[in-house]
Amino acid sequence: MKKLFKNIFLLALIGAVVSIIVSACFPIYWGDDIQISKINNYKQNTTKYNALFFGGSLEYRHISPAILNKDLAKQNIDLKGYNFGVDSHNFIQATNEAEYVVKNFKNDSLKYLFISLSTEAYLATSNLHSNKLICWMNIHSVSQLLKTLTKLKDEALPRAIFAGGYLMSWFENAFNFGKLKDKILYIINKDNINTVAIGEDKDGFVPLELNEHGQVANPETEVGKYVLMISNIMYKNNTSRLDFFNKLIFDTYRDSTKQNKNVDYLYSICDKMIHKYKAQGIKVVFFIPPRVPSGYKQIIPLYKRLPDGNKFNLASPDKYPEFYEVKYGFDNFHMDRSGAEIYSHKMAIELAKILPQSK
Amino acid sequence: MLFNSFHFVLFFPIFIILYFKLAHKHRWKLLLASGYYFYFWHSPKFFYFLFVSTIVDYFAAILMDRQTEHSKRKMWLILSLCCNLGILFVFKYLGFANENLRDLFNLLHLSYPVPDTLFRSLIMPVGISFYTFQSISYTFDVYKGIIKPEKHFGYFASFVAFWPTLINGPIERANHLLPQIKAAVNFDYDKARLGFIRILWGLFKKIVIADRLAFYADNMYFHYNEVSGWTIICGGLAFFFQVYCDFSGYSDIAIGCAKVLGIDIMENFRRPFFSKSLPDFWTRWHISLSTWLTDYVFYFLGAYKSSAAKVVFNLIFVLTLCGLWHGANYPMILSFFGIGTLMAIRFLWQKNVIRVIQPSNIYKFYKKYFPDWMHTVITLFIIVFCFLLFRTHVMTMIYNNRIIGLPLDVSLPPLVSSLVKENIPSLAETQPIHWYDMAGQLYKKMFYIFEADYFKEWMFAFGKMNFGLALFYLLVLILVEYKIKEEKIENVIASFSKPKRWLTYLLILLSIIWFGEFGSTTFVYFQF
Repeated sequence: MKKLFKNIFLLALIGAVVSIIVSACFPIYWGDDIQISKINNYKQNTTKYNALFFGGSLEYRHISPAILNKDLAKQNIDLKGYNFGVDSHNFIQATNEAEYVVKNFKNDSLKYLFISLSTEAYLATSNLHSNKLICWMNIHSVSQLLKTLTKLKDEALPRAIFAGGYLMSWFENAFNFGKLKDKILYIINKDNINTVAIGEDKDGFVPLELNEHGQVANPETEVGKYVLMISNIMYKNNTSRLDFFNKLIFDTYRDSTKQNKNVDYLYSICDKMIHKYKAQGIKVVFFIPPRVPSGYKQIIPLYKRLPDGNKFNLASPDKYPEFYEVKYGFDNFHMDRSGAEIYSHKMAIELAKILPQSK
Repeated sequence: MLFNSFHFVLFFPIFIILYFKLAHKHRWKLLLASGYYFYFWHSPKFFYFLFVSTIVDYFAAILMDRQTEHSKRKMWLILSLCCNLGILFVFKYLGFANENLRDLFNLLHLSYPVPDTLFRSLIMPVGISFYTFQSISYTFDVYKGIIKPEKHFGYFASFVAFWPTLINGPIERANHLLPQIKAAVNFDYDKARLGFIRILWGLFKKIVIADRLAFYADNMYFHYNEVSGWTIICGGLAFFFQVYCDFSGYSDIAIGCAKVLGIDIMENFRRPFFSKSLPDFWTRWHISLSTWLTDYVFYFLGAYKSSAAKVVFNLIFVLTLCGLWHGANYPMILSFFGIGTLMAIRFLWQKNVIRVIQPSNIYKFYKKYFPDWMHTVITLFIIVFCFLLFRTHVMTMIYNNRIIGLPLDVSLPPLVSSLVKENIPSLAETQPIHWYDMAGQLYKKMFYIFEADYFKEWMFAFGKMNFGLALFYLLVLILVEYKIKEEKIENVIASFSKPKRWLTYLLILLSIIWFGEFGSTTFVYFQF
C-alpha cells in the first residue's frame, strides 16, 4: 500500500511542480472582470488621480468620485478620485489591493488612500472556489490572511476552518485548478477594459441598477439575469424583512460600545498603513459606510481607536437616517443611484473636514 | 458526497487504509458505516428508506427460503416488491400519477379531490432507483433459487449500501458482489493501481469533457427558438456525449474505487457511440440496467421466443419501462418508447425482409453499399434524435426559471412571483413553455438540414478557447475508445512502458487540473 501512496504522491508532486512553474510564467491575474478593468484603466491614467477608494460593493456602488471632486473643488480642495471598490471584497483584501496598486503603478500625484471598514476580518465564504478569490490568493495575501487569523481572538475552530479555506484557495491558484484557460485568455486580452465595469464617468463608480454584469450569478449561462431586479422588488415590497435587517444593523451600531477582542490586530494593520504611507506623502483615511451586512460590532470599536484626522463615519442611523430609507435603497445592503448621490454629497462634507485646502 | 469533491479526496485514502488494516471479519462494519455515511451525506432525511429496504429484503429472503410451498415463497417476494416499489412509487411516481389522474378527471368533466400541490413537496431520495433495483434483484434471485439468502445481516446491508455503486450504480447483482464482499482479500498493488487509473480516467471524462459539453448542450436547448439544422444536430451530439461522459465517468470512478478494494463490479458502458444497431446500443449503454431489465422483465415476458406481435410488444414495453425508470415524465418515457418502437421495427425488418433477401444478390448489394460504419452513423443519429427528447423535461423547467433569472433548484414563493411579474413588464407577458413546445420546435427544425441558424453563436458562446478544448478532448476520447476497442482503459495504460505510462498519468492529471470545469455539483444521472 505504501508503494501505491508513494506513487500517487510522486505523481501529485510532479503535477504540482509543473503547475507552479506554469503559474510562475503568468502575470498576476485577478480573476475578476471588474478588478481587471479598474486596474487597466487606472494603469493607463495613473496621474489623473490623486485619491483612491478601496473596499467592496458598498464603495463600488455608492461612492461617486465625480460628485466628490466637484463638491470639494467648490471648497478649494483638490481631489481627483478613483473608485477601486470591487463587489464582495473585504477589509483585508482592500488593504492588500491598496498596497499592490501603490507599489506597482507609480503615481506622483497620489495624495490619499481611502479604505472602507465595511467587513469583519474574515473573507466572505460565498466567494470560496470563485475565480475572483482564488486568483487573488498568492503567497503574500495568504500569509497576510493567515497572520490575521493567528492574531484574532475568536474561537479556534472557525479560525481553523477559515485557514483551511484560505490554504485551499491558494492551492487552487498555485496549481491552476480549472483556471489555465482563463489565464491564457487574460494574457491574450491583457489590456482589455470593460467599460461597463468602470462606469459612465470612467472613475470606477457603477450604481447597482446600472449593473449589467459582475453581480450576475453566472454571466456565461445568463442565469441570474433578473436576480438583481428580483432582489430590488423583494426589498421594496417586503417591509418586515427590511425592518429585520435594519434592526440588525442599528442594534449593532448602537450597542457597539463594548471593546471587541479582534480590534487590536485590525487596529495594528490600520496604524501600520497610516505610518507607512505618511512617509511617502500619502494620507490614509479609514471610513465606515452605512448598511454594513455584518453589522458594526467590531467596526465601531476599531473606528474609535483611529486618529481623528484619518477617519470619518457615515454609518450612523441617527445622523444619516436617509441612507437606510427604502426610497434610496436598492436592496437590503445597497443604495440605488439616488442614494449613492446623496451619500457622495455627504461624504464630500465629511472629507472637507479632514482634507487640506489647496494653497 | 460527490466523487469529484474535495471531501471524497480526503475520504477515500482514509477508507482504504482503514479497510486493509482491519481484520477481515470486521471489514463489513467499515464498509457498512462508510456506505451509510456516504448516503447520509447526500440525503440525511431519506437514510431511513435505505435502511427499511435493507431490513425488509433481508428478512423476506430468509423467510422465503424457509418456505417450500411456491405460493408462500411468492408471498414473501410480493411483500418485498411492494415495499421496495412502494417507496419508489411514492417518491418518484406519485406526483406524476396524480397529475395524470387530474388531467383524466378534467377531461371527463369530473371533480378531482386530491389537491395539485399535495405531492409537489416530495423530494426524491438520491440513488433510490439504483439501490431499489439492486435490492429487488437479490430477492428475485433468492426466489428463483439462483442464490441462497445471505444470513449475515452485516454482509447483506453492506451489499445494499456498497458506497461505490450506492448513489449512481452500476446496479450490481448479489451473486456477483456479495461473495466478493465476503471474501478475505489482501491489498493487491496491481489491482489498486488499475483502480486508480480507472478513477483518473473517470474524473477526466466527467470534469474535462462532460461538464464542458454541458454548456453547449444547454445552450442549444435555451435557444430552442433560434437553432435549426446543424446546430440542433451538433447540440444533440454534445448532449449525447455529455451524458455518456458524465454517467460513464461516474461508473469508471465507482469501478475504480471497488477495484482498489479488490472488488470487481460490472462494466456499465462499452463504447456506445460505436453501436451498429439499436439492439447493439442496448447492450452497450447503461449495461447494468439493460441486463437487469432483460433478465427480470424481458425474459419473463418471453423475450424473442414468442410470436412476432408479442416480441414487438415485449421490446416496446421493456424500453418504455426503462424510460419510466429514468424519470416520471413524458419526455423521458417517450424517448425510450421511441427507441423501443424503432427496435421493434428493426426486428420486423430483420425477420421479414433481411431473412428473405439473405440468399439473394440484393443482400450482397445491401451489404456492399450499406457498410458497418454507415450503420454506426445512422444508429448514432437515431440515438441523438431520441435523446433530444430525453432532456426537454429538465430543460423546460430550467428555461422557465431562467425567464425570471433563477437557477433550477430555486422556486419563487407565489407572492414574490406575482410581485416580479407586476414590476418587470417584460416578464408579465412571458408565459412558461411546455416540454412539447421545446421538443416540437427542435424536431421540426432539426430537419432543416442545410440551415445552421445560430450555429456560429452556439459554437463561440463560451469563447473560442472553450469550444476548441471541448472539440479537442472529445476527439481524444473518441480516438482513445476507438483504439482500445473492447479492452479496458486501465489495462491499456498499465501495459505501457514506464515513461509512457507516467507521461499518460501526468497528461490526464494536468488536463483535469488545468482545463477541468470545477463548477459542477452533480451528475446528470443523480436525478434518476
